[in-house]
Amino acid sequence: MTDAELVACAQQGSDNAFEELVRRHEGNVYRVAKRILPNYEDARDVAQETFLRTFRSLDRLDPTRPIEHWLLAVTVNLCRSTLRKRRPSLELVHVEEPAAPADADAPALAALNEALVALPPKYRIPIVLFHQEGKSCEEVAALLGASSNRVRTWLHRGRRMLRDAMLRKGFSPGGRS
Amino acid sequence: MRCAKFEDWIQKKLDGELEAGQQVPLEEHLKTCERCRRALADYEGLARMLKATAPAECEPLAASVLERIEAERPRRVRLAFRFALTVAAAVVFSFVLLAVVRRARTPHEPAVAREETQKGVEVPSLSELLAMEPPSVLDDSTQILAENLETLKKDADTAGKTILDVFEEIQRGIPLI
Repeated sequence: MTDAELVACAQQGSDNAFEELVRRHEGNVYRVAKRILPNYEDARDVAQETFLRTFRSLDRLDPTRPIEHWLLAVTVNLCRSTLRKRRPSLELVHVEEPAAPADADAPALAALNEALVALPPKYRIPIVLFHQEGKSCEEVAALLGASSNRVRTWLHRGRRMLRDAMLRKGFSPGGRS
Repeated sequence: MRCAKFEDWIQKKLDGELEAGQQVPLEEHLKTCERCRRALADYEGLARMLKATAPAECEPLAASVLERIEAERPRRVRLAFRFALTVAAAVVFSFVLLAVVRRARTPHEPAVAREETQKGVEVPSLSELLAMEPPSVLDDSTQILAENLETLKKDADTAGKTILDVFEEIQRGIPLI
């Protein structure tokens, strides 16, 4: 069944259809949450709450529209709420190492992950959505309820801060010795 | 042109939004400016590293999500049951009020009227009683009932019906669970 058919069935009361929707999209939802929130428990809670809210809002969903957009928007909003509730000093607790590909520079990736976690959320979230989730500036703007120009400003500042942090840690992202 | 201007163009290039007329001047500048060349290399390296990182997968969420949904369902049923009880109580009250109205119309009136008439006191008819302001006719203990009766009478008059018609419609109109 397509996602649209699953949504329509779930709206008619089929728990099996909703369960299948969760299975299909839980990986994507969790990945986005984990990239924005460094804490495993927070990311898992946000992912779970995303699907609970989707279930409660089934009547409002339009089966003809991709459910990924709805899920991504809810995930991003829940991540922002979580970050607003947390004090900045707690954000670095339980930071987990990302899964690195076999040929990657693990220390550099670890340094990048630390620098990304240390970015203020208003820069981190656009960086994650644009560079890691492959969204365009306009899509990021729509998700965050901001203008495209504002998103570009956040991206540019976020990149500069990441580069500066990496250079301070002694890493050259451009690969020079 | 100063490096600050090319720094903006480098960011636009990373956004995928460098204009056609900016491509060649940027390339020419990069040939002669090591600072901007390093900056572009660092940003492109950051973009590759960001894309290469992937968070570890989480445990499947479907089971826990459905458990939460099931756990919420009994609460919703209890709320609906409480609502039904409230509505049922309102129906019972309405019938009690109906009984009061019917009692006021029955043979007690003539006996009261005869007794009072024998005492030489002018006794108003029921329609005259209903037309009067409740506080000037009834004592405190029945004032609330009289006010409710007055409201019902006005509604009935507006609809061109009797109070009995209104009560029967209330009974038919209340959803039973």
